[in-house]
Amino acid sequence: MKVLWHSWFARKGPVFRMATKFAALILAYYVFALLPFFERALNGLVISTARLASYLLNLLGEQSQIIENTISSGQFAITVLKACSCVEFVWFYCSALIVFPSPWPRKIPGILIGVSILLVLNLIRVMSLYLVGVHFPNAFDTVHEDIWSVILIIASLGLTVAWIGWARRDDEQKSDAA
Amino acid sequence: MLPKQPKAFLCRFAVVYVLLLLPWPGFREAYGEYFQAFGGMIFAGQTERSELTFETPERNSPLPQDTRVVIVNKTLMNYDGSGPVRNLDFDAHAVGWKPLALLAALVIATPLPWGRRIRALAFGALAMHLYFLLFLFVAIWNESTEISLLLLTPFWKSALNELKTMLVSQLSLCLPVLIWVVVTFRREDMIGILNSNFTSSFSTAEKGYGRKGRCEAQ
Repeated sequence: MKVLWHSWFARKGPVFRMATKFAALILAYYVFALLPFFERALNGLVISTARLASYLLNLLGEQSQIIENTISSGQFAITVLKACSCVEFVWFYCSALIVFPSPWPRKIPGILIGVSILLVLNLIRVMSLYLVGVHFPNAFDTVHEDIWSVILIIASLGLTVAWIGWARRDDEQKSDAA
Repeated sequence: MLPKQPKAFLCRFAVVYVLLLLPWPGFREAYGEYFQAFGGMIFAGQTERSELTFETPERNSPLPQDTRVVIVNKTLMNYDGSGPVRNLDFDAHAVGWKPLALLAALVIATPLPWGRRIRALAFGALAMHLYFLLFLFVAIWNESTEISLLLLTPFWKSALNELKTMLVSQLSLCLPVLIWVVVTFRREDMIGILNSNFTSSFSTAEKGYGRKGRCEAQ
């Protein structure tokens, strides 16, 4: 029995260690969320997203106005909440890269590029939800709750797997060259 | 361009995930009933002070909440049966099925023998259901404070609210991914995923498990 347990733990131990580090980083988000500067930064991100979305929507011919984090027109209004900032997806992605054993010169570009992609995706989400709200209001809840949540989950996982693939291939090329 | 294996994994994952989340006829209602039965099996019942039941709320709300937990403090009820009742409404499909679907899609897409995938699905589903029980426990506990079944100071009430929010928010992505990693992979899988330059991080057989290995270039 003892040998079986040792054998099982030898196989699973490294996985548990990595999972524990990942879980600790995720929990750290909730500690940071209590800090005032994080709250201010998140507010800033939400308002910036709303303003940029409104600006781009107006370039597309929509006549939207922006008040704080609410984009509105005569037909529809949408408020960008903190839950819509995609910070949790960004935190998940960054935590996965930090935990994965790879040198920092490879993690840093991965984090910068991945976070940028997620923020752009979130901007597109806000804009598309406004457009759906104006032109297809019956579909708003489905697009908001079902479609975009799936897209962001697939995007976060996709970016993580893509970075792992890139980091691995870079290592293989360097070891082949050596 | 993405290497072949990660691309294949992502494609399989995306297809299976979307298929599992499609609005199949009757599935949402069936899952709602299953979730009510599951929660009711553990939490429903009555004591001298309290009564707790799971039911389907009336369908006159635009919100898709299909599960209601009714919490009653019997000591506050009047003789005619009227009195304060706390209803905890939520969408069982969003709370229960979506995280399970994500976990199942991740496991099914992982390129491993089917025997291992089935074992991983079984253990993963068990872990998710334990998490659902934790979520229900915290949510019911939180609502019970509103009808004096439980007395908490404002600090602990706020902490409980934050805990409930955290438990819900982790269901969408982090928890299913964490469970997937733990139930699916072993050390030899991690060695296969990682480049050989970093495999010594997982050489627990040589260095002894529980001790951190140094990263050595090969």
